[in-house]
Amino acid sequence: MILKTAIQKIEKEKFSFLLGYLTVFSIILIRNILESSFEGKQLLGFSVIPSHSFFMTFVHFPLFYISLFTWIILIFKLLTGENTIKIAKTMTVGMTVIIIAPLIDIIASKGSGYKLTYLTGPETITEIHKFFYFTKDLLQASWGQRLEISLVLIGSFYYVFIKTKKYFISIIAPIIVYMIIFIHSVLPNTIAKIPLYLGFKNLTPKAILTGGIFSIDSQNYSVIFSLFTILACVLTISIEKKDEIKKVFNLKSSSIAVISVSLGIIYGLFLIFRYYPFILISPIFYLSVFLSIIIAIFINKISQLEINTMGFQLLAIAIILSGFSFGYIFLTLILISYIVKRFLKPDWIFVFPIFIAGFSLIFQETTFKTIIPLKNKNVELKGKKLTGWTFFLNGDYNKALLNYLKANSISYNIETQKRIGQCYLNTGNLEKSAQELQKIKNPDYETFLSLGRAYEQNGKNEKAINIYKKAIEEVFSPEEFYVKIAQVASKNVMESEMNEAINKAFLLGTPKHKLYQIKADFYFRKGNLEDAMSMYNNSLAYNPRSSASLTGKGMTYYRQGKNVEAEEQLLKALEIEPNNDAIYNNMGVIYIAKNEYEKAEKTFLKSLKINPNQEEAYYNLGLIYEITGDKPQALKMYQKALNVNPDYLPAKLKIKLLKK
Amino acid sequence: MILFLIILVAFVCGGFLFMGIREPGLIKNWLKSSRPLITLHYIFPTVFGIVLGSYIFSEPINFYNSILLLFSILFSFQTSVIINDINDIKTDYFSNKNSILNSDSFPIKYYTLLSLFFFIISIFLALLINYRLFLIVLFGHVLHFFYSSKPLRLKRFYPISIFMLSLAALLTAISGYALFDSYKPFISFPLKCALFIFIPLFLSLNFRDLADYRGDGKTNITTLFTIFGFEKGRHINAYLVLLSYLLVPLILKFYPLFIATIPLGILSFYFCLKKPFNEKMIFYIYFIMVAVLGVLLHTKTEIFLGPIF
Repeated sequence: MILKTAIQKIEKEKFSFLLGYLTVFSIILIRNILESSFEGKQLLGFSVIPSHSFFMTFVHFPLFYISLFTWIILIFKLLTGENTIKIAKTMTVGMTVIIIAPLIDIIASKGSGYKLTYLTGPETITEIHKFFYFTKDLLQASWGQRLEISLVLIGSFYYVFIKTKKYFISIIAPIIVYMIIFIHSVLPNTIAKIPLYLGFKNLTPKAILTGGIFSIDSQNYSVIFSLFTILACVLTISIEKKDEIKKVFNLKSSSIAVISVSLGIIYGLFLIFRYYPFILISPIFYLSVFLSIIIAIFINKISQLEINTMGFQLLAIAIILSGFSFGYIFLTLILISYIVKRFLKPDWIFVFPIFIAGFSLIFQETTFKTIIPLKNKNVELKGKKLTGWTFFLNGDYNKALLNYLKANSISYNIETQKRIGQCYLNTGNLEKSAQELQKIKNPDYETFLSLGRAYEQNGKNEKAINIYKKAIEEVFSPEEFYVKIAQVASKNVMESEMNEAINKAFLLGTPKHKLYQIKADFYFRKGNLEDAMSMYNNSLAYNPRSSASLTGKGMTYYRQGKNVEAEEQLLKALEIEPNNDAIYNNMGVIYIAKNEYEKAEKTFLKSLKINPNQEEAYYNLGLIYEITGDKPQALKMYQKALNVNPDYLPAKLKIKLLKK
Repeated sequence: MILFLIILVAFVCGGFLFMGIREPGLIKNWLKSSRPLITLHYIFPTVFGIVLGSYIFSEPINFYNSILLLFSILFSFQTSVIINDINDIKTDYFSNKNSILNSDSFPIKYYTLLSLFFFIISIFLALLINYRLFLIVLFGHVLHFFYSSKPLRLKRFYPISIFMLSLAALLTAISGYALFDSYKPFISFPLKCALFIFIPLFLSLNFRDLADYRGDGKTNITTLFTIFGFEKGRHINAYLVLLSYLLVPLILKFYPLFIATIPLGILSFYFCLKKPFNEKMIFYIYFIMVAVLGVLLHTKTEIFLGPIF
């Protein structure tokens, strides 16, 4: 009864579309800020790099929720037959429910918050009930999310019941709404896996989803959700104003716009293809082409349309946000096309900016340098960079390096230089990596991080600490670099340096579980197992999902000779982080201790499949083969360990012994 | 940076000039209704945040950024004052007939434009400091928007309304603190300080609704006074104000502070019940309290830190 009265009151409330939209956007903004400010690894606005943060906060995240919003409106419209504006008004107020999730998570995690991620793909359909596991703590479903989804489903049931008074339809409503939420959660990774499903296995889903023609990963996500939003808007408008939709999406009258934008894209494709062949593999590219055609049609028609209906206004917003996700050059050119079409005579002149907009989809910030190919080098430079980045994301660092070196030989660029350094780092060429990264005059956040890692892995801990200190001076995410210093100091048993860094990191808001884990690692290395165990327990009290602390606790049990307990902890850690090579490595060590050599071998092989640059894993495999009597194979493994790290002493000793 | 600042100053001057010429009474009327006392109430937490940050991180105060932030907060509050006034036209019709928006001659269009103008200035100033501060200031705008504007207009629902106002004050303190730690200010802002700002304000801010009692009742805005009635509400409000003063030493666990908070609490209690009610007196006492806390912050900063229990 209360709910019914509340809904009636909201429906009677008079406010403009703009106010309604601002409210929805503001709710999404608050959710985003709260979620990103409290989660352990994330920052206010999700990224330390403002341009990435901007797209996440103002384009990607709003589009995700606006898509959900429009789809739920469509479902309610179909089930209840209610006026769209009335549904939207109720939904606008109902959206406040999304602020609940981060707030609950902050409380449940004792202040640090939980990181929420997209589901890994459609195969998670078997885990569709995960959100309703109220007895388990899972990585993909936080307590806040469960409560939020439950409230949405209860709300859907009541809303439809109040409107229809029919139990059957009311029970169907939350099921459909839940499916929509689920589909939104799996959508990005499903699209990224399309080439895989089609049999193309050269590129990983990560390379497809976060690489390609857009330099910022959230731009790719935005393309997906823009299309999904537009689809919902078109369907909603079709129910109310079928003729209007036919008028907009009449290809005949928009043919000039469609042809112009398509020609721009085809021209761009023609230029880039020989340098960047992956473009045709990425589903995001096809979605972008489709979306840009829709934008062109809409721009062509917008001045002739009656845009007072809510569906059209939402459609317009989705299209503006899509324009943002395509980059500022595309957006500017589209705006110019609109102005030309609206105010200039003859209006067909608008084909020029639309053509360039299509071209800019591929060439982005280098559009005006490459559109008239007087210098082929500019096109090649863009192509090499794109190819390099795709290989980089794909984990093919050697191929990435070749492309970046070629790009740098065409024109020196800080970004390319940074990637060259990172490629060397990831291929184990630490000296060269440090050398290349040091060349960068104004290092950014990523450069500091990579340079520090290069020194760290090379055993130059003092230098690594100094680099991290320099990053702190530059105010690049200082708490993260204090944690880095504490970790390096902990590894090298530099107690006072570690404590100082931990204290600073604590002041800057680093989650307590992380700091307890670093201290625990320190005691573990010192051999003080009791203190280590107590610190790991403290860490897990603050975050039971800390895989690093679970692993540490497991290894402490192992050192205490409690192998069964150790295995149990590591299995828990693997449940949380199934792709962590280090955990597999530790697990293998425990299996060796338990004399389960077959299991150990499998575990090390798994670890090496994830990360082939681990001298310890090869060494451990060598140990297994030696124990089981396969000396040639053991020798081969020790040699492989030395290939990864030529200074790895245990492998050198073993080779000496075996050759005797 | 300097170029941006010049553009900003030109934008501010140009904007004021444009609106001053188009609507001569606008600036004068805005100044009249700009509520300087409440503005100060938002500036104090910001200054507190800045000083606290400087102490915790042992870094000197960056005066340039601090001034930018204070102006950003100032304009942010002025934006919310205007949005609130525009949305309160009905309420003011009953309780504040002298409100500038109730005079027929005053064009709301320009008043809305003024709020947009202030919004841009405040956001731009925050952006000049850094991207994080921009997000925090934007967060503050969103809170005020939810508080006064439709469709949520949370000021209608007591105690959510007071909760929002206290949260906004806390946010201004965090913004000051974020000048030093702009990455995780929400986590690293000391919990003790957050409670010491939030709880007393949450208990005491009811007095702001006393003057609008009639209008609130007729426009379905629930406040302490519309729920319990004028007389009973007045008494509850007075006790809550007294309690808020008494809670400060308890939250800070610094009991000598009772020497200041007991008399100031009693004084506020007296002025809350005194007829006719004078809001200014409550603010003046509050400012004395702020001065006391300022001295404490300077001399015994450690009491603002540490565990709560």
